[in-house]
Amino acid sequence: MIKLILNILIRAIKTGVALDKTLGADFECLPNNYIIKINVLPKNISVCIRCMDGKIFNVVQEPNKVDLLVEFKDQKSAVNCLLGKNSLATAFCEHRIKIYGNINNAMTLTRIVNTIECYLYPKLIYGKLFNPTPKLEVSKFKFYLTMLFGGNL
Amino acid sequence: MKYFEFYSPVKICSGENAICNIKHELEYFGASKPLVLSDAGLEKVGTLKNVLKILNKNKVDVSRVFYNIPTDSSTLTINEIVKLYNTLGADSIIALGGGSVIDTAKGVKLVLSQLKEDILSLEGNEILPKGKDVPFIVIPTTCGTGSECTSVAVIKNNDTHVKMEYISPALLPNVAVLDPEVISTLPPKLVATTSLDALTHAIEAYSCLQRNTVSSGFAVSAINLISENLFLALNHPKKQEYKLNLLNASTLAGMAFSNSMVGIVHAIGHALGAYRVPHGNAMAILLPHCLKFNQNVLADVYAEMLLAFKGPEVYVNTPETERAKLFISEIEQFVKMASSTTGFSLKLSEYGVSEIDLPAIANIAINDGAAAINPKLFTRENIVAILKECM
Repeated sequence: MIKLILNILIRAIKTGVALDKTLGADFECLPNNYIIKINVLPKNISVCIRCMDGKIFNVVQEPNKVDLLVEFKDQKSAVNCLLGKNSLATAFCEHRIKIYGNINNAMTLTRIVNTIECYLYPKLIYGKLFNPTPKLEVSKFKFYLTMLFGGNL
Repeated sequence: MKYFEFYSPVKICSGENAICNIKHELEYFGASKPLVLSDAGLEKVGTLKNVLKILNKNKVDVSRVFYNIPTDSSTLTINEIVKLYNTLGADSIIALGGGSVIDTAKGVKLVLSQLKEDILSLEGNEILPKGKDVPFIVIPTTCGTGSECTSVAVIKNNDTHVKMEYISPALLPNVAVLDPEVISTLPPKLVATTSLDALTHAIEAYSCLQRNTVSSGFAVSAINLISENLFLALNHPKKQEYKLNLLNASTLAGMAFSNSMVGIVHAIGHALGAYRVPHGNAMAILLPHCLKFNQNVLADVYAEMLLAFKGPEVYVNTPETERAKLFISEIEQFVKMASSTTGFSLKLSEYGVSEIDLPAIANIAINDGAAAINPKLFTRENIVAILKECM
């Protein structure tokens, strides 16, 4: 279940970065060839991506070095955060996550995930997470259509 | 917030002749060969010499001293001091100074406790084990940073020129020594700007996303102490009790924000640091504008803070709906009065910041660690708008 949610999140980030100019600009703040891993303890369920030339690539094999590791201390906190019950910022405030690597880059990722959650969930959910809610540059319909059928983003 | 953590294990030795107790604090940790860290400014004005004299009188071995710490704590300096610590056979650290000295000392302690040689290998948030004990005593020389009680250090990467944030309980000192004698020669301008920094710590700690019941208690006490003592300290510079109250307030605010973090004022303030705007001045300039920015989300919280800042009489005599507005306007007046009394400018343009710099400052600020903790989401455009108001 966690693995599925994480994979959906990554697919959504890829879609958001490709469609939403603000997200794309945010994403380009990250260094080139930058490897980000999101890991959920205690079972070490993880996804790993590489950011290169403004695009996101899945990293299938465990890399030698991860530049930014966001690690949820337990599964329940991860689910709450990834399913829109809590924001990533709240998870950080409640000490539910650990961050290995540059905190400024973690902030960029947080901002991207905030907007992605707004694309993924109805306003009823994300309206409680953010004040004000991030601006969405493309329609949710287009976002979902691209996410589901957009091929290799 | 449904869950919070509060951690503040620093022993506070506060008051007259507090420095004289350092010998006993070192003995408690079984240490006798401290490396004293400070900066050239404190060496020049004689503060370092005076403190070393007192320590020497109290039979503390002060043969190991390093005072070439730059204005910005940096990775190179930290790694250099780590080598020196090992070469000189020191067994503890005494940091005498403001934010950069204390942050440098924290970096040194971190590297030594983790048995590493390079601070860069330890970047992250709450990821490190406690590590080896390195007795660490801090003597703050300003009434603003509160760094003696925080688990945060801001360190400049010499390779990338980016200021990196380290967050870990392993950074915390063992003892904070608050001695009013040390700040007796602090110029009024610095008393004002560093106290306004502490006030900002307390206000942001009380209002940001990570605020919690325990840290709020410390923040309220700090707000109250600064409100009551800043102008007394400025108008009666020879009376140590007022400055000691400001030192205590700074520590209280440090304990508060170490456990609840800070928000937009610090996010932008850190970015302005890259443009050589002194941190305390940046806080004073930004605070009223950022309070106004957050007002629609934090009106209830600001209304509560009016009680701590202006006392019960003003609070009960102000209609409930007007309290937040009054709080912001009182803070604005307080900052303006501090500025006119001590002669520092509240315009960013007078610190060399120009309109063309604003987008770049916004770009740094939006990625600051404090940005995510602000209760109101903000964009680069919001930051530029706030900065324009400050020009």
